[in-house]
Amino acid sequence: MSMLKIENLHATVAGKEILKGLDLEVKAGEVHAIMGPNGSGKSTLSYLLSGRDGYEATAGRVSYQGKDLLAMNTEERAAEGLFLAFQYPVAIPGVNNMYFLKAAVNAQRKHRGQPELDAVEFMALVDEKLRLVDLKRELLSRAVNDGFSGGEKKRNEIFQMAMLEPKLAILDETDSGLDIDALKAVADGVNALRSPERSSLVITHYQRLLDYIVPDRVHVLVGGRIVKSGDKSLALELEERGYGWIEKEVGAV
Amino acid sequence: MTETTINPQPTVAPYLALFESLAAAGEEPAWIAARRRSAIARLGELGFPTSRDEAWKYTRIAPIVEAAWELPEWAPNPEQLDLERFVAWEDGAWRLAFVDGVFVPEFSRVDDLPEGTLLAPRSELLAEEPQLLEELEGRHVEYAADGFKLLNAAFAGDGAFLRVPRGQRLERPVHLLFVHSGQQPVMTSPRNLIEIEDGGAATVVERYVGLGAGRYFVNSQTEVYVGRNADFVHDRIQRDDDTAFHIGNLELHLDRDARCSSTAISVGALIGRHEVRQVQGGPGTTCRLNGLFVVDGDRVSDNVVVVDHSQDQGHSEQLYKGILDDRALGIFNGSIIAEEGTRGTEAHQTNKNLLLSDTAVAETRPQLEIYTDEIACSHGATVGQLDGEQLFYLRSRGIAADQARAMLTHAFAADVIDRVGSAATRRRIEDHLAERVAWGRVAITEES
Ligand SMILES: Nc1ncnc2c1ncn2[C@@H]1O[C@H](COP(=O)(O)OP(=O)(O)OP(=O)(O)O)[C@@H](O)[C@H]1O
Ligand SMILES: [Mg+2]
Repeated sequence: MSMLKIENLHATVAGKEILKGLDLEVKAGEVHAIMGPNGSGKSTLSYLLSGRDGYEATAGRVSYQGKDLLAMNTEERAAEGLFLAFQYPVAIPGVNNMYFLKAAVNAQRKHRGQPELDAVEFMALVDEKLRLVDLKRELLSRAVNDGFSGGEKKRNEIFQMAMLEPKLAILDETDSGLDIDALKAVADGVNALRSPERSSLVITHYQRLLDYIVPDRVHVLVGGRIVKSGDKSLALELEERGYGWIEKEVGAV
Repeated sequence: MTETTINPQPTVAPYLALFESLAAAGEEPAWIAARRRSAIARLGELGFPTSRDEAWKYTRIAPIVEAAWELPEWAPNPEQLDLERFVAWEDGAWRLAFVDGVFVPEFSRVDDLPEGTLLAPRSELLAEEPQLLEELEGRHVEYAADGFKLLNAAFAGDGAFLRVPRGQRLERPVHLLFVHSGQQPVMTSPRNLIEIEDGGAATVVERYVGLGAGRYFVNSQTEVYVGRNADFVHDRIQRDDDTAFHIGNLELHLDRDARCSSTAISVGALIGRHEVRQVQGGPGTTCRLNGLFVVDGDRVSDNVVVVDHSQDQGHSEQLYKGILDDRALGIFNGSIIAEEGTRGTEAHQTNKNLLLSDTAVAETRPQLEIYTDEIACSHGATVGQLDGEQLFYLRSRGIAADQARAMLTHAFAADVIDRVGSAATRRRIEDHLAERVAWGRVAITEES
């Protein structure tokens, strides 16, 4: 079954075309990695899939679990199981992390017609997921990402992912800037979600992460298109040789 | 300071006539009558402020003063007003309640006050201890050239009198509840006097609420003396009806080493204005003045803060935030004055405004009058909208756009709400704001 199917996607940001005919298919249960040089459009793709304002699809189609993804608004996509771990999670002073999480979990449950979790049930879920992701409990009583270190922000993203149990998780460079312990925590979080009906799209610059999260497919995004796909060995090759040879091969910008 | 126009305003005449009916109505001690007469005479000369007056530049007062107001004569039966809902949450506080300017004993609670503390309506004091009022009232009011303060002095009505004796620290808050039914088109002139003697402490919650039946005009004056090394915590909540007018003045006179924290939450009134004036009676004072104003529709909220550091080691902090929707106008006019020769002053001012629509307007005017070098002073003002990146983050987790906006709006106001002194009041304010901005009662569920 297809989880995500992107066909000939063109997209603009601030009137500038960034994605230029992107094709990608992720089947249920698969983990795909996307690699590519800086500015090639990886984050743009993740924002577009999440429905961020200002990111406009000008051509092409995206189907998610058989539905037209682009017709849904951001919160509907989330409630339908799409999750984006941000490359740069924003701090939200004044909004308590725990409160925010409870609002998110219950908003999604409501959307799916499930009863909302009460305080006790919610705390039980928090305890369970905290064991999975090594996040300091103290961070939950602070404002969202406010004053968090880089690593703490990334762990918080993974903790949210664990809490929300998405169908399709997009991780935008969640591994960047992490020490090896944090990297393993991220990998554990992703691997814990691995199941025949869940998929992940892992954007990364480093093959290191892929030692822990072994991808089914690796794609190379250059100039707004997937220009090459392969298995895990492609990631190793990219790490050794860089992107120059591919850019030459496809004559991309 | 600023000056009012010298020409009498045509709009004063009806008030002179109204004053005659007041004078005819009742017997009062001669000194009161004399004070009233002198105030109305000054008002007659000065007139009401105009837009040429810096402190009144943006607020049109014509809709207020040109309406035909009556003086309060009777209070609606409190039984029929369902006032219980306003006080259910107060947690054992002492209380004085006034409806349409008239004291309502049935709804007040002054039992088991500690020995020496005096809490009574002004009317009672006038009848029983007029010399005390004569001695204390008006000592710290800077009438200068403010027509509305003069108007209050001329028509001064009932209000609260609180005196906390030397060294006594009140353990429960005192609530002053001013309810307006709207059943009569009244102008009320609440007059409150709070004296905290040396080393004493009190938390006072001053609340104005409307019941929605019609228009009225509240013109209040609260005068506070905080003695040496005394503490005063003050929450002022203005939740008058959206069709009502509210002008409020707060004068804080801080004696040596006194500490004060006053938080004004203004969410009601068609045209609402609140002015706080902090004056030092001695060195070493600490004063935090906080404000949150929330206006929508075509309403106006005008917030004036004057902090006057005339003595050494005066510390002050102003934190004012405005949330403005629709075509609302929010004004912040904050002054810091540091007088010549003073040393060790530390004065900070922050004003932030959140515009929830393209048509709302925020006017922010910091005014610094610094005549000394021995000062640490800062001020900053911002006008902005909700942060798109934060909104997207919340929505990307499944939180609906409306709720996300509400959460961020609430977060914007959170630090001011945190400064509300009484815990029960803090929770209650969340309620008021929930009504106002429909932000999903986020913080209430969070606290319970
Ligand atoms: N708001 C914007 N306005 C204009 N250009 C933008 C905007 N956002 C992104 N871009 C441009 O789009 C291109 C792709 O950016 P994107 O962030 O998707 O790259 P990326 O592949 O994620 O890079 P990195 O590896 O550095 O994270 C870049 O050239 C970037 O400058
Ligand atoms: Mg990126």
